[in-house]
Amino acid sequence: MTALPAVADARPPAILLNNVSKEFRLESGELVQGTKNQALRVESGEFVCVVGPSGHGKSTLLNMIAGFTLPTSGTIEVAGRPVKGPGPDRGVVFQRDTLFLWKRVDENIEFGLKAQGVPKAERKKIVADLLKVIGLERFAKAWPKQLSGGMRRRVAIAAVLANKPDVLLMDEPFAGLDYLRMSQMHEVLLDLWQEVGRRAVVMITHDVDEALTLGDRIILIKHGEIALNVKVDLARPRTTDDITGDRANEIRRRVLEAFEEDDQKAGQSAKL
Amino acid sequence: MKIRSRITSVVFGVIGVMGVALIWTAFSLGDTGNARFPSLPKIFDAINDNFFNSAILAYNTFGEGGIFSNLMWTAGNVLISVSVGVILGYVVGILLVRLQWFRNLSSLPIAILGTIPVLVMLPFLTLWFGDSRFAMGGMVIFYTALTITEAVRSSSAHTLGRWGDYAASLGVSGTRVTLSVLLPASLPASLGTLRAAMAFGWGFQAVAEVLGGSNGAGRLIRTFADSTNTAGVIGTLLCVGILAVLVDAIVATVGRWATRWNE
Amino acid sequence: MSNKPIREHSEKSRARSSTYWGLLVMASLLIAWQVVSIALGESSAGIKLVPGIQDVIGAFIQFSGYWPGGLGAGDVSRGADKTLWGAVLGLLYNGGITLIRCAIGLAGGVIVGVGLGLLVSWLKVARELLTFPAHFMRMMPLLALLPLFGLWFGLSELGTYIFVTFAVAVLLFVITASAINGVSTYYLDYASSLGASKWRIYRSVMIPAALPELRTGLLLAVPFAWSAVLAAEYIGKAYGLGRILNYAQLYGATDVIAITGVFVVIAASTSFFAVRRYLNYVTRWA
Repeated sequence: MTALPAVADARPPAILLNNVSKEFRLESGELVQGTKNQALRVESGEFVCVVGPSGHGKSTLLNMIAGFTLPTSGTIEVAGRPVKGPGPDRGVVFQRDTLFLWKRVDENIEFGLKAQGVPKAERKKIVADLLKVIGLERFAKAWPKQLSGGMRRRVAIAAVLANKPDVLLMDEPFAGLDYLRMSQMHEVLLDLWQEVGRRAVVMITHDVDEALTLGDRIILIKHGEIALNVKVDLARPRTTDDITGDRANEIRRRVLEAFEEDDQKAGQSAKL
Repeated sequence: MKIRSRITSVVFGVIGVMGVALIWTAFSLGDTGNARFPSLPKIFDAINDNFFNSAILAYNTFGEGGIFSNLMWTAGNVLISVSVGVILGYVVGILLVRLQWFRNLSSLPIAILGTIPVLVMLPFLTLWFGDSRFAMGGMVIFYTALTITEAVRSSSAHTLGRWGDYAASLGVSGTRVTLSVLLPASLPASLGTLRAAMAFGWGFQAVAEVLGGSNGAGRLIRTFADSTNTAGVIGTLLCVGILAVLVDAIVATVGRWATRWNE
Repeated sequence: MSNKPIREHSEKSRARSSTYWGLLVMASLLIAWQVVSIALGESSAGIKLVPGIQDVIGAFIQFSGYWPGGLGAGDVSRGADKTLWGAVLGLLYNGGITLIRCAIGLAGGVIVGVGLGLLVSWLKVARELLTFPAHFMRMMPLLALLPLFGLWFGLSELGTYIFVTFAVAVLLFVITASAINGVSTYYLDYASSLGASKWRIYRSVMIPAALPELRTGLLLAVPFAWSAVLAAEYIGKAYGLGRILNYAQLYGATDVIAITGVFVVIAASTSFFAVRRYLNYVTRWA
């Protein structure tokens, strides 16, 4: 299975950023530039991984796409519609645990569907299918507190994807997991992604290996700007061999170099 | 492990009570006049004699019934008043979190209300509503509503902070957020507040009856006190205490089940 | 993912605007009160159910009826005129008495309640033994013990002090025990691993760690102590704001109840905020 090439204008891009800037006003009155004149285009079905040093604007970018904050200038469109606030067309998997403790696993997964008014029979089916994909059918009636951290993660992602959002946004969802568990989560994520029709994904991560495993593209954000935008044209599904092969190492080196590059290179987006 | 510690606390509790009873008996033995520290048997007698029909009540106040009926009157009032207070508290608490203008208007008055000694309301209640159930329970409603409001408000603010963005990103509307997110999330906090409000509630209800009621355990206590029947006073107080502890235990058990999902 | 945009206003301006809102509310409540007073008028017995603002202010002079005489104002109960100066004296005298009773009762209750609580929590066995009896006493209607104390101590000052002390002590005992119990074992393990003795741990770690929960309980105790004093004065004492409330209620003088209530609320909230200030200072590290 190869990565799909960008479809030319058949459908609106999943995400489109036009000269988006975000300024913050500190209590002292100072203006801080969070994001500068960003232009970005993510096609539907693309999996984009965002890497970069902490505090350089990755989360700000995600928050703006999600609609939690609005840009100071520029526009953001998702599936052709301008972003005005949070909504079910942009699903978000947060870093912290956001499952509702007072709802059982299946109730958590169907919560968004219920809010959209999906009829009961259909809801039950969707939930059952997703539970099978994440391998937790036996825990449908369990309380979140009875599950391990990894299991909760799986339910959280399923709950968001159940809504079939146009775009899935994730902020370091697997931070802190060891390599084995992270690989398992990757498999679950990719299975879920496949199950709901391969929506566009934007995922922030600190782990370059993770980006190489999951992404169709890697974007490096530095000083509020896109410093690198490189396609990852490795065949899926990707094994350990794939991400340690020559092509992968080439990409990895470019990313790491861009990481360390000093300010004069900022602003140049090198497209392969 | 759990069963063992349960049994241990029950055993300790029983020993503790027996210890107190022993100390009390020591006091009552040294008290010749019998006015101050009636012995335990005397107290039990007082309870027994007056349980269903109290001669003293009929003689002194043309009232009816005994300890049991008056206790039920008091208990009923406490439960009704606390329930009203909880509903009121929840409504105000949720409104405070959801409506900015309401929050602005109410913050200062509510802060001051929290410092008022509840008893100040009693003369007004008595003058306006006589000795009706509402007059006696008014303070209980006030106190419960006030404390529940704060519990709901603070827990809801915390809930919104933790789950607000997530709910918005699922496309969940305002009312649904209130019903499916804020209300369940507030249960653990409001349960503790409820139990505390009930504990105070018994006190406010009883003292209202003592000071001006014509029904209830408090009225009974006053009648006994007026006839210097210390055993009767203590006996009635003990009965109220026992009932209060029982009700609290039931509330706690139901509450634990309702919040069994909590970490 | 909580990169919220930084607030536009500073903290100070927000506090100021909320005060304006608060004053606006108070003003509208007063207006509403006046409207209700006029609308309800007088009951058949001639009592004004909701006294108008002018009635309440006018009732201030009634305080002179509770001044025993001296310092330039006569004893009204013996026929002297009601004067404004007498009213001021009456208010200060009765208010002061109530305040002193409240303060003594509160102080006593804190010392006994918190003290016993700390002591008992030190010995695990003692705590286990006393948990249920203390819980029982707490659930008993503390304020309704008043007649009992009346039987024990008559209507003496001592009786009042002991009553308030007892009520506050029971409350604080239960709260203290629960606060100490609730200190996270994490602190204890950490302190032990540093080699601290049990006594040092108790004194320097557990008690300070329990202070935040204790603080809430102490703040609860302030209006509770006021209620206890007012209750005691209601049925038994010769002077004090509670007694004024009682008499006013007996004579249906809603205006006197209102003006007394105003001063009670002022005194009680002042004492509450004062205690809170002090406690906030003591637990400012929390």
